[in-house]
Amino acid sequence: MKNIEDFLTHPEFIRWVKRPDKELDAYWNQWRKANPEQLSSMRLAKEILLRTEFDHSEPPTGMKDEVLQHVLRLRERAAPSSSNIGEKHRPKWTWIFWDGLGQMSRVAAILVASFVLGWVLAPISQVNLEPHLAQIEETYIQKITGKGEKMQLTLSDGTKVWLNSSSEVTFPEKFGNENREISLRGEAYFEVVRDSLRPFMVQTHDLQTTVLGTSFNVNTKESGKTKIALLSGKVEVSSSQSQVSLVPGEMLNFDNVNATFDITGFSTSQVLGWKDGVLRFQKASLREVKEGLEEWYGVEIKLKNEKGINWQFSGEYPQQILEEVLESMSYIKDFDYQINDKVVTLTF
Amino acid sequence: MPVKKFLPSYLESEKALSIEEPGAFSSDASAWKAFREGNESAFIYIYECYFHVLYAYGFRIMADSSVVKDALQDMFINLRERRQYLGDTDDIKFYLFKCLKRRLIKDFSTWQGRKEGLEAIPEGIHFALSHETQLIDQQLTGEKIVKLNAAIAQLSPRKREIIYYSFYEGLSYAQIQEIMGLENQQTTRNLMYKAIRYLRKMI
Repeated sequence: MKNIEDFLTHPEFIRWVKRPDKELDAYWNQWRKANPEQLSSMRLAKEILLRTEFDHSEPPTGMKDEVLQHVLRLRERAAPSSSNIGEKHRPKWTWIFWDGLGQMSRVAAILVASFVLGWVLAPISQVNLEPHLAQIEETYIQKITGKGEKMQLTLSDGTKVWLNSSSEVTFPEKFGNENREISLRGEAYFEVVRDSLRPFMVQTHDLQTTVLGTSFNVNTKESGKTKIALLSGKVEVSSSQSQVSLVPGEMLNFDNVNATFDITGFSTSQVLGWKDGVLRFQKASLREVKEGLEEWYGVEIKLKNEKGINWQFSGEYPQQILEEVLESMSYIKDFDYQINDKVVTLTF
Repeated sequence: MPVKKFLPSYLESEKALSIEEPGAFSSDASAWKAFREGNESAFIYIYECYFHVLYAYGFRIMADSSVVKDALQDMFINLRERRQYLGDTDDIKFYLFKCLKRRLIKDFSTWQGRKEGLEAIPEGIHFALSHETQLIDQQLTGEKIVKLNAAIAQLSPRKREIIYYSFYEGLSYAQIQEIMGLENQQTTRNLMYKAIRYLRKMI
């Protein structure tokens, strides 16, 4: 190397000045010692790099969320037939429009129709299968978690299931040819391996969720409520009376008592924190925190002098042991705690 | 059937499980792959990670907030629609930079009624040497910095663009060649070398 051009066109030199690490330090320090006559060029090159400032703009506040919402919403609307986006100027839905579409678009439309048909037929094949299933009853597998326990399993088709605490799943050791059926009590997250010939069905108390390949969370832990949150793919949920489909980002809240439902958005971290080992409270009352900790750690919590205590507690505890959680909570909320094997006492 | 049981404090098994939260993807390649396979968390993760740098880059190409916003929105919608047809990448930032640049330059050319020059940023990217930086062994005087900045302003848009990719974004010559639509890596190096030599003559 002779002059600053050589340094400033050398990607590794630039990287060393801007984002140094041990390896680069070692290399360039050694190089410097071996070439003392280059020192002043090297310094000048370094100075130019460090002084160079590029104009920088931050997006206006709120733009990031606004664009994201638009991006997610548009996908939902375009989901049944994304091919009509380039067809803005045509009449909305006429035979002219249909004829004007290319061959590919027709295929897309027909595919959508056949999926719907698949769901309609699904209950029928299930009925036909019933006697057959009864004969092979002994090959069913049941997995149960207690308080403070979680479990991950992989089913025979490769589908992954994360089972939250106090939950239970039952499924055949090997799925049949017509469908893949699993029943659930409690809460689980599924990542279903795609198999368009065998729909994957999750049976909960009142609802049946049918999918072809997708990831979603089913939660029946709150009594009388079923929540199904969809992360990707598409699911069809049916009760004895009605049927509804979800698109990614949507959560179905079903009230088992009145058989009513609504659909809302959801926060991935809130709904799926449990799966990644994050204990989370949001504006929780003392009772909710107590029950949450009991469930998460499988302990019994006793309260002393708690009369008149009114909590609205929010906090997030990734991968922490009970003692760490209590330590940080007691610091904020001012109480003493004592852990005695499986019994914890909080004194206010 | 493999069954794994774990407690909240049992860290080892958590590693195998954590896949959804931002920051949980082990590499750009795995996040991108998950996105292409329809994983919505992967999309959100990518969006959250890169929105700010993409906006900053877009604004450097076209200093108009609403134009950049529309381009970003269209780009993300388009990526989601075509996700199963997208290629692999182990550098998401670079991949998205290419998409955004193409989109912005194409829009710009359409307004201008032009069809050529799809790869050039119309006015180049602006930068200057700062007088303020406090360095231990300072060699540049205030006078030299003024001269250098005048020289930078005179550089062609392409030369300013290549310095930006190299100094600021840390792109490799192969990546710069691709994003600037240059002939080969030698021409890319030459362009960078000429730009720096022009500046060096000022000192």
